[in-house]
Amino acid sequence: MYSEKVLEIFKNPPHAGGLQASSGVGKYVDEVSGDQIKIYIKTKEDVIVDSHFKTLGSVASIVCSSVLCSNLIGLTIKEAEDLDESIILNNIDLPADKEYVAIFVLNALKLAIENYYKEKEKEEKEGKSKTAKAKSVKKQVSKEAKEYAEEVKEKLEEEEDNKQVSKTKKAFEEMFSAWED
Amino acid sequence: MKRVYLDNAATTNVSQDVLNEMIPAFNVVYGNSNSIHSFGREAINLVDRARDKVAKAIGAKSNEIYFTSGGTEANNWAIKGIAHANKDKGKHIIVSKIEHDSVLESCKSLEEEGFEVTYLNVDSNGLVSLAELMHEIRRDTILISIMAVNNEVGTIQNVKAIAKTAHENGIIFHTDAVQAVGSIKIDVNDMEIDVMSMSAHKIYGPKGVGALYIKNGIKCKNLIDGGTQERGLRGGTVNVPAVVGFGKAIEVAVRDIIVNQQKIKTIRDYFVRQINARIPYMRVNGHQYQKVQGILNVGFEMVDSEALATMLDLEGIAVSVGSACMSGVAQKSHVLTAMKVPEEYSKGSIRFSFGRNISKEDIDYTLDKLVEVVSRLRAISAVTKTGRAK
Repeated sequence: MYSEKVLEIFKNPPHAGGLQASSGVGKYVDEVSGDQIKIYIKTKEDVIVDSHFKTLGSVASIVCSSVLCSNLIGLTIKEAEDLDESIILNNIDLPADKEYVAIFVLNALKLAIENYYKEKEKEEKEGKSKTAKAKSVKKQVSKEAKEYAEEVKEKLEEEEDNKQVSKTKKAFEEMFSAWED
Repeated sequence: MKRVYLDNAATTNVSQDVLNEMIPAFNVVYGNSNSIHSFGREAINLVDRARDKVAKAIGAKSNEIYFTSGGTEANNWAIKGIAHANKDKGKHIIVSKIEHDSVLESCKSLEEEGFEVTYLNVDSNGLVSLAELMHEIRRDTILISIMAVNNEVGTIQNVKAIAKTAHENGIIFHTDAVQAVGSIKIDVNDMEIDVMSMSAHKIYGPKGVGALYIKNGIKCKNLIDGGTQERGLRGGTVNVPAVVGFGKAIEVAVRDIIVNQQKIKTIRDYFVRQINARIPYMRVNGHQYQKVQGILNVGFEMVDSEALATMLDLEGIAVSVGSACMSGVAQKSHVLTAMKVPEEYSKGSIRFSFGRNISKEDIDYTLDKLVEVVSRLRAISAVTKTGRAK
């Protein structure tokens, strides 16, 4: 039998539903009961700022998921990693034969943290390669710019020379026509 | 808050006419039915009248009815009593995989004593295959026990054909008829039943009383020692008020069977049509036609049965998850597993069981709440569906 408090949470469980732009998601499926628990975490500088769940499972599974999410907010990822089922069981009075469900929920959290690290690693890798790419692009651009500048300079000089030649030519022509006169 | 009781296969209320019949047996006729004085004789008269009513309801003789504390005791007694009394002939028993735990656990207990038990498969409708039964019969088979009506899905077995098969091979046939009495017509002679378990509280009688029919001539050892009651086969002071209530309850149940079943059928069919139309991703578990009217097992995808039943309970609606005896234990229904109901449906299967007092207003209220809570649970489920429902 569930307590009034458990049923109250079950009626309208806080943190139910998915989470947009989460930093990590973990889904645990228990083969025996068929329960499926999905925990979402959202972080800012390694601190959990929001957490949600989506659960297909018994009253205990839904309530444990909700209680865990409520207690995750404000913890660092490191602190969340070290959690055990007492974070749920100390905050809710479940019937003894339902306490094992808390382990399912913790498993889902562990998977969410794993996913968080993977995503972070991926982002970092992507970040490094972006910098390297930017540098090579810059190098390429500056090389091309230099070449272009050289080209322009040469052209200008050529033009300048041409101008000078035509100017001289014009002066000679003027001089010759004066002599002819 | 409105309250709707849709768990009549777990138990029913004691009807007023049953209660009226029982009350004098508490404080007017209070003698011990085993006593030789007048108080005792008055009590045994009431017990025998009740025995006559039970016997008449199933087409048996009065001296073939033995009162017990209920269906569980009756099943234990039948399985263990027949096995122990006939072990000189063989030690092999055949039951189906979808029997009530009181039968299955009795078999497990006999296995520890050296008996061998074959657990028959059922098809997707919950029916035992006669061909498989015949295949499993051995020279040392002494007992076949197949329930008449399954308590979770309501499927009615081909009891007469199974009994015939048993008798053709010289085997005793027992049936657990706890869910059958009052729902289908039972004549033990016509159906060739040798031993049959019954219970009062499923048919508007009191809890804590049932009976075992043992056909004259069938060898069945007693289960409870220490008394001469029930012709020396079941020790213990007879619960006279309960037995009197059982007599009245079975008399009324059998008398009104056609009217009640027709009423329940109308309500049940309406309920199924409405669920079908209003809730996608559901299926009805059990046989489409060969079933009792009062039991409806429905599986909803993407929800858990315990969560769904609890959510309905919070809205005042009482339904059951699997069988009542199993609720509280996180295990899959052995019945739905044996029927190979797909996991996604068995996970969210609940049992609605309708009683004779149900009203359309109750059903409409239940439908509205059911649509609402299934949708709420699906919204927070870890499993989602896209696309159109089949």
